[in-house]
Amino acid sequence: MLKTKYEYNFYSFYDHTGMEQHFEKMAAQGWLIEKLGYFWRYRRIGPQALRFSVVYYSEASEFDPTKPSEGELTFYDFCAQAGWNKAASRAQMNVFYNEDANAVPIETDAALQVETLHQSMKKEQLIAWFLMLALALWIFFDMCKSFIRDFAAALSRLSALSAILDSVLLFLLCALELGGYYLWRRRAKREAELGRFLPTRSHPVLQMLALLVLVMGCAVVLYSDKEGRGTYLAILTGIVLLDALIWGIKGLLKRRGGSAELNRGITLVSVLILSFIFSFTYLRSVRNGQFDQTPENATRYEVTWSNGETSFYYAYDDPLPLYVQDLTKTDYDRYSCELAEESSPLASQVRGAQRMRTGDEDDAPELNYEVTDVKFAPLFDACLDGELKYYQNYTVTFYRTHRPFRNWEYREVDAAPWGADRAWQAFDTESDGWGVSWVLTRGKRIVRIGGSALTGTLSQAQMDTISEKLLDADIK
Amino acid sequence: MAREKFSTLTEQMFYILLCLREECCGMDVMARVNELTGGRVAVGPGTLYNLLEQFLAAGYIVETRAEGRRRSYQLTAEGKTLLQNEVERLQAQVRDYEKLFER
Repeated sequence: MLKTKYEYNFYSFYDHTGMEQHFEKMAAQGWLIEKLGYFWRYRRIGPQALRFSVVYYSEASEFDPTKPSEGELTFYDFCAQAGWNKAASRAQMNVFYNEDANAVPIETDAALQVETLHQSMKKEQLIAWFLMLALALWIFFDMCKSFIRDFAAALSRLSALSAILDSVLLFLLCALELGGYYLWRRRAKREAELGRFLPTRSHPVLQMLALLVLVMGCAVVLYSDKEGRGTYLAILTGIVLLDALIWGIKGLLKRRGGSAELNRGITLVSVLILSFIFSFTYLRSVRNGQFDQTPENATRYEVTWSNGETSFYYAYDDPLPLYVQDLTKTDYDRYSCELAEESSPLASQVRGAQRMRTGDEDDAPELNYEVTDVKFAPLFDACLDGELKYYQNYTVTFYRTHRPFRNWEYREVDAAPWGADRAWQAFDTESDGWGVSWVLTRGKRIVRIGGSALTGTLSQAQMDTISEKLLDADIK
Repeated sequence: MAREKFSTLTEQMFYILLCLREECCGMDVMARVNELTGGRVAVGPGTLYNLLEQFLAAGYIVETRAEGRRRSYQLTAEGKTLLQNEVERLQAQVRDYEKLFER
């Protein structure tokens, strides 16, 4: 028979009423809470009708030594005098139980209870939730930028969709926690003026669901972004290691009996130093290409530049739906043919590129294209708009953000020669000249194609080939 | 703790201070209040602990003795004045009541 039992804590820190009811239910089933944390630990007792009280000692802190302070011990003595035995404690939170159903409650002044709880919340909980809220907003706006930059591409990436949904979910979780607390506090203060206590209410089931979706979302990000998987895993491992080290340092100082201020200071300095070491190691590894996985159908090659520096690149040998050779003649035979596919429930995108190898000084024609199939029809216009604003949204950040194609725009042209529904061609507003890039649509498909292989006046045969291979073909 | 908080005393604050007119161990205050009010007013241990800390910080009581964690307190002159003001406020209320409901 199991002597201990663990439970993940889905209750809000301030939800003393919810926790008290839960602990009472567990005691009736024969389990007494004995340790608080992310996981709650219970020990087996006989089923008992115990009364629980979750109260807060605002002077305590997460960084306090394991041995309670004199003040805390006195507080426990006061409670023991009234028949309340301590079951567990963590930072400011203390759980007491009483066998007497009619015992005087630990808190008998509603206003004081609200005040003590707020003092405790201000210590660590509110800071942590506000930081999390800021993180959710930062991820959301960062992801929004990638949607603005290339809407169709972001929409086709499951990882981008998951990341933006995760950030919204994280934001809602924080808003639920913070909103729930401040709403309770406002009402509780009003009730306290009348001498009445207001029970707290959190949403453990909702939190459990949100956390589950959040974890699933992170797993999707991790496994759908093949290129970034190594990076995500490295960052995740780094965070877990960092967290474990910080916990270790904090725990050691707590056990050694260092003051809360000392512990907080050392922990903070450790966070900064370890974060720096991890970031430095990570960036150095990235620079050395340790996270680069050799893609399928690719060979690595090195280029030594005139200054003696060496860089490495990949030459791909993916099958492409359309080759330079389908459109024009070329003697160059060292092409890198790269095909990337992304698919989400809302859109899918195939990106093809046939380029010369970096370092080769030939003047061979090149080709690149994106074929987007919008699966969710109402988003077609937004995808098309994103493709047509390609030049406006194209930025290069080097010290500051540049828009190298700010003079370029897509202008609608006759779609009939392409056999498309609509067609646009790149136009340089500065030199009043047409460029070699087109956006074509047919049905729910959007094709953007460009490259030096299309230089000069395109023949009908070339346009037919492009139409047949990119607009008509089943590309997946 | 701002002293404004104690401009009007709650029943619990009033009886805690009243019990401390003479030296008394903090933990014993609960029983004394219960005794004094015939069980009408109950002070919980958490509330008592926090109020004692606040009274101490505001200078209304003073720690007189400490035997281990058993600490005794007593009302200061300022505490007596606070209690006196509260009594006068309550008496004024009673007088007003009696004036209006005089037979």
